[in-house]
Amino acid sequence: MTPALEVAHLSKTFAARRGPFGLLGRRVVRAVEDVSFTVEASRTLALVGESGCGKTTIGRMVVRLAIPNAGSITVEGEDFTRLSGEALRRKRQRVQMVFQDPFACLNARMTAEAIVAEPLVNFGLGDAATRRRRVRQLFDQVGLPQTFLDRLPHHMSGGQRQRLGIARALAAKPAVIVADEAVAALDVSIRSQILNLLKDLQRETGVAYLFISHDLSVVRYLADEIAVMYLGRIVEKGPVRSVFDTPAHPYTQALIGAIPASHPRERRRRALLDGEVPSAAALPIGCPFRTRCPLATDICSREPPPLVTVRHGHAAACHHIHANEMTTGGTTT
Amino acid sequence: MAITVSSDSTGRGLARGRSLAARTVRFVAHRPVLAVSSGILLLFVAVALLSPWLAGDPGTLNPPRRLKPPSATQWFGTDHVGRSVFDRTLWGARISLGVGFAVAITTTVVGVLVGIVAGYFRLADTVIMRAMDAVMAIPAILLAIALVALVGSSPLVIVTAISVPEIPRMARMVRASVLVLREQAYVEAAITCGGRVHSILLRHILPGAAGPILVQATYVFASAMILEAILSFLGAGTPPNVPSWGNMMAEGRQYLQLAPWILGFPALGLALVVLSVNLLGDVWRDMLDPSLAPSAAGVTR
Repeated sequence: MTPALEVAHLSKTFAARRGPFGLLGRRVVRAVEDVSFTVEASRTLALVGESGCGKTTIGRMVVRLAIPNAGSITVEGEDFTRLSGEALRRKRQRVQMVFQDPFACLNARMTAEAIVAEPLVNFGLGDAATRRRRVRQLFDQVGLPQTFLDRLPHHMSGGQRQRLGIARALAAKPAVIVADEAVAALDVSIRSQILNLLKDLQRETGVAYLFISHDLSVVRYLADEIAVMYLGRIVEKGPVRSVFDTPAHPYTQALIGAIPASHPRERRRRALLDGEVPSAAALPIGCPFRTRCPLATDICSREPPPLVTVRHGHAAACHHIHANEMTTGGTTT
Repeated sequence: MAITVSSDSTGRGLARGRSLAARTVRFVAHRPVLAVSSGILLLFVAVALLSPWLAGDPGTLNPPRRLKPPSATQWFGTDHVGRSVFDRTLWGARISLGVGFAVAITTTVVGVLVGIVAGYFRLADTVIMRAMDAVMAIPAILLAIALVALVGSSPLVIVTAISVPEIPRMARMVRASVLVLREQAYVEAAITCGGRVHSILLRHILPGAAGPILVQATYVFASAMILEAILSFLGAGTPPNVPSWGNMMAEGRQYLQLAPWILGFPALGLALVVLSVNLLGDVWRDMLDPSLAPSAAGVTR
């Protein structure tokens, strides 16, 4: 079966001109570098990492709000990056997005019904009567009362607006939904409701999620697989359980170590990171993480580490995986 | 009235289900500025449209009864050749308001098109905007005098002369609004939802820019009326045989101490229309900003 979403060797650079009229040349920021991953239908891949690590850029490229410099994004077997014009517009039906800010992503002048109906109208799905029924069905699916149909977004709460945004993303029955920090702007009490809603909807519709988040506890609850990013590269990816239980990359270990424990007895010895994230415009040669890595040796400053398989489906990009695993592997979480 | 709103807690009643008349009354009571300014403007528009029936011939001379003050028979008095200032002020409203509307519409249409091409499609953005800067450097009065000297005075020439220097201001403002709006998450959402270019522009971007465009258009309307008056005053505008507020003021200037009503009535008309148009622009701007809209009872953002 073709996967819902297949991303291969994706790269994105941003060039910023320096000095007046760009006289001082260009500063190239490598936002995303050679990123590959696959998401099957009914599965969720979480992209995690610190802010500025390129995860949002990947999400924007997947929905074609940004254009990659290299690599391919294949949606249900068709290369999304090669499409343009009307073909691109039609293909957008298969890839929808849930935005981070439930206030900014809804047109304040449109009623809730018009917002959810918009993709149906744009993609020419059904006549007016069918669309009316579909919008009402979507309202039920996301748990919005029918009385909200002609409300304006600013007469709704944050959680209600996010439900509306989810209904809009679902309306055209996409194969993939990119959720960029979809619950980060919500109250903690609302957050779990929305996460459960996303899970239920996936079970009902078989949609694949690319879930972008910096919140590891959310990721652990929702995702099947996880890809950890650092400075535009994937440093570790694998099934959620495997990555959380036996993180192989020192960066992942530090991230997981930073999750607050729910009980004092569960507190682990934390491997906290020193230093700052290097600028994406001046990456260290070799392994990008070596400037903050407790295990860094000579080889790390010479060669960038390849992504190697640690165990089934679980890979990490580190020269010292095996040495590292012996000391910290098997930590209970 | 507040009670009816709070009892209807779904917020539906606010948008629908109230009779038009009741909503109008409620609206005017809540917005006296809007009511007064649009009332004045509508009055002048009606006067301008109906002047052939309301007013007599503005060109009838009556030298024996010249420079007479306002009276029961001549409401606004007479000018230096005995013409009725009332008739001429009413006829003059046609020119002033006509030029105002024509310039406001021309400027808005061309300015919005130029602003969208530069700001949304980013086609030749730098070239277009530098050209607009160059046009903006032309003083309207000089352009008008040059055009009138070149091709003679006609309404079309006056409207063109006043519109051309106003277009860059509108285009620049539209471009700035569009540049901001195209980056908004809801516009990006519309793109991912498969919106075609016209739907994104018409449903998502232009409504967001409508407030500033409308305010700018009312400003253009007001300043076009003033400019037309200035041009007529200088003799480069409406020909002297057609009464306009500008050339009436020019003629009345010479008799200001003797017969201030000749200048006073057209000046009052101009001031009232310009003021009400400007006030209307401010009110519209507030009304078109959805974040300032009254919220449904019990639900605040």
